[in-house]
Amino acid sequence: MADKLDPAALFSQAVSDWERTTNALANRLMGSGEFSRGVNNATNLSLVLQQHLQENMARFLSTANLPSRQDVTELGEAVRAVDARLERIEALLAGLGGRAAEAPARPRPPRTRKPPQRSGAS
Amino acid sequence: MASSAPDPAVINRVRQEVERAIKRNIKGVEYFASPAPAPGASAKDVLLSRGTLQLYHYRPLSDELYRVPILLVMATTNRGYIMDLAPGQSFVEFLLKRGYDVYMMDWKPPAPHERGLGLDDYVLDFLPQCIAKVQQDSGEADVTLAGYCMGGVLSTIYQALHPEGPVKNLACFTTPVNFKGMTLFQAWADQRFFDVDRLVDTLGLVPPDFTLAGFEMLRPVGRAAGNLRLAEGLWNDEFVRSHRMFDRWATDQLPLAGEYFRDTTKKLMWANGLVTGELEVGGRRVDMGAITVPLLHVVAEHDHIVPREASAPLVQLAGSQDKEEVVLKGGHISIVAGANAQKRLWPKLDAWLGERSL
Repeated sequence: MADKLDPAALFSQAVSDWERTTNALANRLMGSGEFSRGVNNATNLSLVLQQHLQENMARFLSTANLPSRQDVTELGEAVRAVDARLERIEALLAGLGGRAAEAPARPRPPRTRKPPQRSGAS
Repeated sequence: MASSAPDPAVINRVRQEVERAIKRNIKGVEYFASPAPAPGASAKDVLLSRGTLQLYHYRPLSDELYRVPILLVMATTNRGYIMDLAPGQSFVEFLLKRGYDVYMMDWKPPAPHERGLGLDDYVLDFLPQCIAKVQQDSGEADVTLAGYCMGGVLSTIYQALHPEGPVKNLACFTTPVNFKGMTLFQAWADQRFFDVDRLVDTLGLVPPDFTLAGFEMLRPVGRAAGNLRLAEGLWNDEFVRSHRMFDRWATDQLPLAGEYFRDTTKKLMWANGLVTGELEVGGRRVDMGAITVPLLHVVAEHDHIVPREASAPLVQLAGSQDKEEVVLKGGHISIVAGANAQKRLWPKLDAWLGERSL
């Protein structure tokens, strides 16, 4: 219970009470079939519009001889694949050139630990 | 005759409130002028980076390690730094100091070409590859799997399909199994109204705003209440720092691969396949009874995302002899990170896992 002298505690308690009751009320409303139907209808409508926009935009870009988002994405993927391949080649070359041997593996502690009650430690 | 001198307690309280009010104003300016604290506390090496998948190995902080390494599997909707927020507030750091060899499967935003990754890829490709990498890196055949939320779901499905090994222990935190128990998500994903195919086919990747909206709708005034608490607590540096880190993490959602979202919606949310036993991954039926390794499931008493009805069947359905469900005070996030977790989950996991990691 909040300290009667502490306005911060009283404020915090009031915020918690408001949060709890408002969330509970909203959750009751949002758990209804009507809410789900409304939200999903809005989402579906937005997706349909988005799809039409994408298709029309792709047609326009194609007509204007400009790359579409899909084209740019594919180019990005191609660059990423080249980058990954270069990284692998670089790692192989480093291994062949003996650089891997120059950097010894970080020493690991022994795997001998026991839980405190077994080892007798506190 | 009654004394007219004011009560010293009241004077002290007024003084304290005036000081706090001044600090709120000064620190309020600092708040808006400074960047959020950078997350991540523990030194790590990236063992594997494969598109959306990242596998980290954290550098040991102990002179002696338990034999069995632990692989943390992060939820697919969020970043793994919730497990490693800051020095002194890091689950990973705690485990390292207690002598565990810690690895983590974390996620980056999937690229557009990864839209086709499905539940099969996460369970039968990513997880086995990471486990093999952990075995190779640690030199140990046994591994402990520890999954958070959907990371726990992936780990559970993997273990049900691979009861012969190499997983030695399975620990799950706030892991949903009975998806019918997530009543609000069920209502919003009502099969009559929610067209998951249209969503995935149109967008490819499910945007982070979509999942964030879903989580925030569970507590519609949660953000406003959080901001009110922040305004009140601006005088307290520690509170502000913690608030910023958690707020940053909570809003730092990841997009989801479309097929994965379609699979989880149809197979888990609609068909409730883990409970009915009808879930198939890679053409194989997932039988929770096939899980026989020691199992710990830690759930939160006030979890608004994964309520008890959703998480309870994990331990009930698992076939393990050595199995335990622990209900701890806290919420979905505070159970793994923050002051609550430091007092409750972390020592509980250490006590359970230590004797099973030899």
